[in-house]
Amino acid sequence: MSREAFNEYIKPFVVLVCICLVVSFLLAFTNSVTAPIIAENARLEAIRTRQKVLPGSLDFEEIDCDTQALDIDSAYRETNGMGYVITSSHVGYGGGEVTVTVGIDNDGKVVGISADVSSQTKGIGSKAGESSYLDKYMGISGSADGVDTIATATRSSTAVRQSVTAALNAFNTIKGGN
Amino acid sequence: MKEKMKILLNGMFKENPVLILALGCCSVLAVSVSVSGGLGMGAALTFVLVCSNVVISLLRNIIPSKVRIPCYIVVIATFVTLVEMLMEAYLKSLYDSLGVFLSLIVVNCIVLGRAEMFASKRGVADSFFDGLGMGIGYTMVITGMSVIRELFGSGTLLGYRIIPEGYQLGILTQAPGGFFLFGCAMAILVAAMAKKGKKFEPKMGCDGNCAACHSNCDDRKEAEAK
Repeated sequence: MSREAFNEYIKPFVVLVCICLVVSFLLAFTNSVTAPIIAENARLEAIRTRQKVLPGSLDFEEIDCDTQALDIDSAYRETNGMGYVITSSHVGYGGGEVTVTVGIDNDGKVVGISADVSSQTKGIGSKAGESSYLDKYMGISGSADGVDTIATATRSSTAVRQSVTAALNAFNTIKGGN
Repeated sequence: MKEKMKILLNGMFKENPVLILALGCCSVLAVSVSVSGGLGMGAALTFVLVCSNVVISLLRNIIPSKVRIPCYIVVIATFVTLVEMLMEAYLKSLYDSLGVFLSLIVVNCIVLGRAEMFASKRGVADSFFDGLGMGIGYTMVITGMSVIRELFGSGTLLGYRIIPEGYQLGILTQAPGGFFLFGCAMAILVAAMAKKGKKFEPKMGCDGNCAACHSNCDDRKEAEAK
């Protein structure tokens, strides 16, 4: 093969592959360092959220249940029997998920709620995650039908309501099963 | 050293990437709503710009021109991913506030533009100072704009309330306010330079190589008319 043909066809290919290989190793190494820290942060964040929605709670144990059938992400029981924390996600506006964490006491009453609306439009859909709206769910039990959605943020607030409904239904199923 | 200083200052004023070259405006308009976001974005972009400029300058004789753009993108994307992973691990709140604009540094035209126009032709030290100057220029603009937008738009500064609730210009936090402020900043810099007696000629980082360029600038029209 002539030198010209090598420079024209082989060299670009070899150089690009080499760069990609070096880069892959570099990224794999960084990922191996940061991935455990990121996972640990997410775990601590989840614990903080659970403690926030169930005031006075300390430690939790995960409940082994069919999360898919219950339409929830996870369900936790407070180890001292204070109540339950159930997390559920539903698609809001524009395909983004709204994740809602609900604290429910042993009587089935909502005692705390927190919503991650970071995927929703700032200033519009994000209203569904503000305490002025979420507080309307406080104290309800059995069903979330009594709480209206927000007129200008229908899809985001509907996602919140669906999640609360799923959490309340899941609570009944879990409690009924005990 | 004087030469390096000139390259550094070039990026900050004469060829400010945002206000003069009008590159990277998207992230400036989007992230300049809060000061912490603006500073974080500026720092992230400066890091990526300096690192990618240095690496591309080092590889400038190895990379065949046929695949130079894919090579640049791979190098840039690497540093962006590094910043992303480190920021998610150690600065989670900043990571959340920057959102998608952090990953979008990969296609930020300042980084690719400097790789193509500067780092692929100049030495490592020059490229380092060019990246630093451009990064500081970008950070100055985005931080300056975010100070005004957060202070008068939300009434806070770095999250602390300065102006009592109810006295904000809400439009500043929205897109139209961003554009308005951006235009004013551009006008002020051009006016200041005109006052100093410097003739204002936006160069778009042009090196006179019209064959490798797709823009339809006045110089090109002149050259083609001849």
